[in-house]
Amino acid sequence: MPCPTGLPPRAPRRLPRLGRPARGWTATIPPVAAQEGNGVPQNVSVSTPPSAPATPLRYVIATPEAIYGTILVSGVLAGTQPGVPLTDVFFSGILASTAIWTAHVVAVTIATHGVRGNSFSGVRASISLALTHSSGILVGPIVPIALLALGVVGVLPETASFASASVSGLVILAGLGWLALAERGAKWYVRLLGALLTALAGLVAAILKGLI
Amino acid sequence: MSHAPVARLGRLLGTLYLVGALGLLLSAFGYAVFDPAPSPDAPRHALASIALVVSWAVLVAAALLTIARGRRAVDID
Repeated sequence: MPCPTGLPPRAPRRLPRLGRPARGWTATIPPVAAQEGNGVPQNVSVSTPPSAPATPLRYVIATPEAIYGTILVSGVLAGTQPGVPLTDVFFSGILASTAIWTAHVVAVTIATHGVRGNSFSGVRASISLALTHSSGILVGPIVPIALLALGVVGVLPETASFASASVSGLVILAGLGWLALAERGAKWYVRLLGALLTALAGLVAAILKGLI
Repeated sequence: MSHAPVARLGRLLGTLYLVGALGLLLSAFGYAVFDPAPSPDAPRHALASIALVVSWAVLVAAALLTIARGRRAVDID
């Protein structure tokens, strides 16, 4: 059938690259299904269409809350005044992430508790939902805080620790931007541009957070 | 499928979150109540700082377990 727009059909793009290959399964037809003389072979192994592709790990770990946690700590680092001891920066990062996590848990619990339409969410269910939703706020800042911790205990020089922690958030964001475009089958320079733009967006958000 | 491992993991997660929250409360108490405005030269409150770091580590472990549990649930679905 010709294309209604009159445009030539687009070349098929590369298949999306997912975290794991989609899994199919096979089933064996029992011998009961075959009758003599009908030409149906017995014990035929039939491949079914593959089920829905598994969720890439990126969607499980890199939740909006985790990205927010990363930007949050980057903002704390961006707002650090010169001359502040690294230990204080380290504790400020931990305090910021735990404080926002606590506020997020409380907020989701209050917002989801009660009767909504035909569904009812008790306190326990609401807290469970809030803890699940908010876990990313604690997980996102792990890398920059770990780099700060290495500087606090003396494994890294303080300057290198602070600089690497500051850059790590942007690198993570750039990596996420790259992966998102890679899954769409974009060329490498488009991925690079997307990664840079993602990191830039994170940098702007971190600077705005640091101004507070 | 037996529900015992799921229930055990739920109890473990609840315990971790409770311990982490209590540690946060203790550190907040140590920072805010004992000495709300320490001088810049004063050493950090050791107990409050240790409680903060430990509770943060416990909470991060609980959060990672929560994510792992969610991932497993997705796989089972």
